[in-house]
Amino acid sequence: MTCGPTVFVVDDDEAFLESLLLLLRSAGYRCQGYASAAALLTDFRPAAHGCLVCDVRMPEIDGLALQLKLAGESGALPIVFLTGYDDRLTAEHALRQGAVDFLMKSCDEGDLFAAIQRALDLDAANRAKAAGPALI
Amino acid sequence: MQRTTDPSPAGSRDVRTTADLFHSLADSLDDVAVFVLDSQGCCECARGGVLRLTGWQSSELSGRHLSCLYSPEDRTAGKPARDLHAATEYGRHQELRGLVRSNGARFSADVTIIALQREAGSAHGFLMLMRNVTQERLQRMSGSIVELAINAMIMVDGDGRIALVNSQTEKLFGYSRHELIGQFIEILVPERARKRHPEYRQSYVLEPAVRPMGAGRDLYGRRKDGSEFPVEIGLNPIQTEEGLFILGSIVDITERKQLEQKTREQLAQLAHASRLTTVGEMVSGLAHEINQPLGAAANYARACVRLAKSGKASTEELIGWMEKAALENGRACEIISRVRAYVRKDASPHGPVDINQVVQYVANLTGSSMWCGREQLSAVEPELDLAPELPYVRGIRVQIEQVLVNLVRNAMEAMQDLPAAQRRLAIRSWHESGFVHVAVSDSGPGIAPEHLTRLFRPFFSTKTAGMGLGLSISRSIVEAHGGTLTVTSKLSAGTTFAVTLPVAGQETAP
Repeated sequence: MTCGPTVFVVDDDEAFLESLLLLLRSAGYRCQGYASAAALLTDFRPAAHGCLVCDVRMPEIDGLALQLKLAGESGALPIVFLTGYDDRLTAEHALRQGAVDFLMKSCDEGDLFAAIQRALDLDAANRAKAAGPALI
Repeated sequence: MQRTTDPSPAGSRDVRTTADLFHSLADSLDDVAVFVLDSQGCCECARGGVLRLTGWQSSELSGRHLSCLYSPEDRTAGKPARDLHAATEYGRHQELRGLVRSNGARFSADVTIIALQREAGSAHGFLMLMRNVTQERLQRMSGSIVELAINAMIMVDGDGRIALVNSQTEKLFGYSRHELIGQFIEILVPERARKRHPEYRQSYVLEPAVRPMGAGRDLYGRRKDGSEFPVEIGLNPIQTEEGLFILGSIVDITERKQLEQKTREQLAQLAHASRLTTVGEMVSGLAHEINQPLGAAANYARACVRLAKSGKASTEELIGWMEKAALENGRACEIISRVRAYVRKDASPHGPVDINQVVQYVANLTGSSMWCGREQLSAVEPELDLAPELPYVRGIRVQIEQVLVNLVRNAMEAMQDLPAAQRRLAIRSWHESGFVHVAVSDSGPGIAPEHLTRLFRPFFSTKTAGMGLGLSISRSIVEAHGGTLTVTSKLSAGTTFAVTLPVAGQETAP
């Protein structure tokens, strides 16, 4: 909590996960990577703040299911989906469920960083909102 | 007959009578029976090859009428009397007659009757000569059968020289029979096969049998003008008194080959179109499969640019990441080339195919999500049980791949409503009695019996997506490879598709 926001990354493709973490770190983000939704859920502390960058198609618990599970938690993290499938229906579904953005894995890094920044800003705003009344 | 030297001095008169001379002459004849008949046609004396021709002992015939040698029909028709009458009339009568042996068996004989001491309207007796011509007639008859045969027929002697050809042979090869008789049969064999042909020929002579020539090999004939044409040849050994002859029956199979070729090409086109359709159905899965490594490569590269600019990473670290970027890029390329190979046209001819290798390849393809892009199908890792040292089959590899891809995709689709833990996909290969078997089994809901029989019909499908051509084309492909594609299914237990293909290289000797 004393540390800044963390970008949590979930992707079952090892190379993609590693490369994305490297890219985010090179851009100055604090990151934490998981190879599956289950691994994230085991490790996850509700108090953590930051955002989630998540693959859609994964075995067992996929991205949309993870989104639903986390939505139940207090202080849910904003989610940016990153997928290899150009699938409009899934994208609409994810956005309706409150995703910040739905991007292709081959997207421009500027778009990715912008989406992550929006997610982090949203998280900060959410936390301020949640903390606000308590301060008053 | 024994030759004896006459001990009497030259010029001295022989004491033997005319009758003695006649008897010794008649007895020296083997193929001819000689009869002396009285004026009524009853046998007074029978000599020569009587037993051999008629089955009667000479003594048995004595006193019998010549009609006992005639067939019952001829007897009824009065032929014996008519023949004697004709001989009396003209002095000599010759006719080809169907006669009967003592046991009733028929034979053909050239019968000559000569009237003895003829006087107006009557004869004192007759001399009858009888020669068996059954063999000659049969030979002439078989000669005309050969001549009239629809196929080209060539008879070759044990040394490989042409002894007989029919008119079809002349038509087929463009040679006249005079040009062929006496030549070695190799004159009709394409030059490239001439060298080995005498060897094949000799081995046939050692083990002659009625069989097709050159099993498993494509045979060609060579015309006089040097052009070649595909043939099918049946070989028949014929034992004669002059030794072994080989009768070859030759069929020009140009048209059949062309038809087969056309059918193969059409199937290849259909199979290709079907693979394109499959890839089309998988476009989104394919995009994912390619985007994944491309995205990773881009991430590594972009990270390296940032880190290099900021100086926050060592050269070694940067090199390591760039290598990973290149590796990921390679992964994407590999997927693209795999798909390209899959949708390529079947330029490759038939060749030896390692089924286990094909299974591994297909398992890699289908194990990844790219082949299941449609309808969010999740991939199931196949369990492989492959027999080691499986013999090769002969065929077009990409088509066999296609059959297995199709079966594996069907299996995955069949299991999509099952919980992940209950999905089981097994691919098994084994070798049994000249065939390689591959079975693809799923743990899906099974196929209803009423659907099983219609499964392989074109445009039959129980699925909402797809044309219903996959299994129909798959079966055509397998059958074109000389194999079978069968299905067994049990409701709520699963389905197994089994491909059976003949082992390659079972060609026997020519």
